Amino acid sequence: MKCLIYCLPEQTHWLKEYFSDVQPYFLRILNKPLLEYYIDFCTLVGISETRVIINHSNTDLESYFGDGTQWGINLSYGLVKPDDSLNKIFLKNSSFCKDSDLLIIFGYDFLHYQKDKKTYPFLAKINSDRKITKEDSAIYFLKKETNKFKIDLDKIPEFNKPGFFFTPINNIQAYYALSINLIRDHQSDFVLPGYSNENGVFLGKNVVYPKSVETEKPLMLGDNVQIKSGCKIGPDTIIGNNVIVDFSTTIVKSIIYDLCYIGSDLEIIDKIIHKRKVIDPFTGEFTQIVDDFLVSDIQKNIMMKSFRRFVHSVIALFLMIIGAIPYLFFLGIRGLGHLRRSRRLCYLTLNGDSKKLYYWRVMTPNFLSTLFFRLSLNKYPLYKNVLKKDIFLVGNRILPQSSGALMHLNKLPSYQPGVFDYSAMVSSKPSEFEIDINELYYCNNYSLKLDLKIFFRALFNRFFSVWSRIVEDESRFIEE
Amino acid sequence: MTIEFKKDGKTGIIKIIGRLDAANARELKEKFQSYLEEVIFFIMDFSELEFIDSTGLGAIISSLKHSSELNGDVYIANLQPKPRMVFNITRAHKVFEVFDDVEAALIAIKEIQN
Repeated sequence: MKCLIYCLPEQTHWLKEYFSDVQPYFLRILNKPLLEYYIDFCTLVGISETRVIINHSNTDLESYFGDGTQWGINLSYGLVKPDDSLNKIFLKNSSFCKDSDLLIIFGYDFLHYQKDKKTYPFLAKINSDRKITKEDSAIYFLKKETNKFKIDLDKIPEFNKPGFFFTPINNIQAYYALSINLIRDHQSDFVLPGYSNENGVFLGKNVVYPKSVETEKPLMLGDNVQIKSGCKIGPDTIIGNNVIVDFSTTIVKSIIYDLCYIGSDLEIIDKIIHKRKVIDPFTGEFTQIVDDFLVSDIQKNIMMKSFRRFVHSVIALFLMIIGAIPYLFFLGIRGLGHLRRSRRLCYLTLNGDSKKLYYWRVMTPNFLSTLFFRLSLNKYPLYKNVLKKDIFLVGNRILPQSSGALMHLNKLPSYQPGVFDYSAMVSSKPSEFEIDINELYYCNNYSLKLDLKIFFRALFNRFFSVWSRIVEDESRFIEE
Repeated sequence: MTIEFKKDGKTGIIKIIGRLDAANARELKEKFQSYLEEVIFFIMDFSELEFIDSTGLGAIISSLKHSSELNGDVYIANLQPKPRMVFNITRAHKVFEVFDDVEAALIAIKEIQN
């Protein structure tokens, strides 16, 4: 038997508000990604091949689950458009779906299986296709014989036998209620991460806490958790991986997501903490904490990030020094080159923080202005912003503040504006479409090595490029 | 990179073998223009596509754009794991219809053509 897993984008929209960088199937329930529960269930009932249908970016998911070998299952991934119907998804994945009995788990739900129970009435030997439904979710069981290219899933008859349950995770309240319910009453139903030396207590690897910490079960601590003295943790508390809880803080009936720092002398009761967000799971309201000493996120790879920033700053400083005399020269004769310097408010972060940055424009091109642009001296004022850590030397295209740019910003998974961008490296003139793709490609693949490649090729391209290309590049920045 | 083209009724099937990157994206764009004189619906068979970068993806998007201007479409079939990662991170799968195989893509295209 095979299994196809899919949920509609509408079913996971609520996640964006609270867990903006968490991919839906990667949402952790008791410190375990949701998809891992699905995979566990599949292996439990003897499903050998599973396909996860994706309509969003899923790089973390694929690098975590890979081809499923670790779970003893053959796992593959399918790409669909967000507005595809389930029938169309079935057609698109027809070569996977045909030639075998098929289970389709459709919806963003938690499956209440039990790790010791291998038979479920729904999966018992049957002679025809059937489904069970709950709210906007459904589980279909399709027989191999009917499993062709096209099938109308809406016409599959309903199967109402109890014994197999799923809970829709359709809002933050449902997520919280599910997590607390599982840690209280159903922890023994699943294989959960960490070791358990007594009932109701799960400890991950490298957990450090002194004897003065008071704990009350049920509670779960992830990997690399540090709890300082005087803290009180539990009951009904789930703390994720890489979390630091500072002195004398109380955490009760709460979920602390991965990579969090919780300050000292705090009282966290009935809350969900994700990075800097403190969420009330009953009303759905949340606050973004700005004080690092209260609640903040712990950044990964900070050494590498700092080193990348350092290299950018060194190169920017070098360019400032060698470009100082030519720049001052052109500044003096700017009238002859019909050059004009202006400032424009530009976005610096994904949150929409902005700052005025200098840019140069040319009124009537001539030899002097061409040379000015070819030598990239129009970028000179921006090197100071690189040293101030406002922007990077190489990064995303700098977006001037406008409603259109804000929409574009919201589509990006990350935004690190840079003096030079990926599109400047491409020798032929990219279309707007291609620029968007280049931006997304950069967001997902940026590294110091790529930055250096972009930097040198951009300098080279600009110097040897036709004049109109340089002007187009610069006017893109200005006009937006 | 090798490009193979064949017709199945009113649909053109373009099979790309090897790497599709900055070095040969232009070749695909040019060949696609000539195929457009014959048909407007296409299936790009990526069963033997080993690698694709953003420039290659740009060439496919440009093909889709030209085909759409004539009320046609470009479907993708047999997307392999490595190129799929590029489609995924650039969200190109939101623009293209991606099918498991050419057969399923043909069924979907014939539905539109009829």
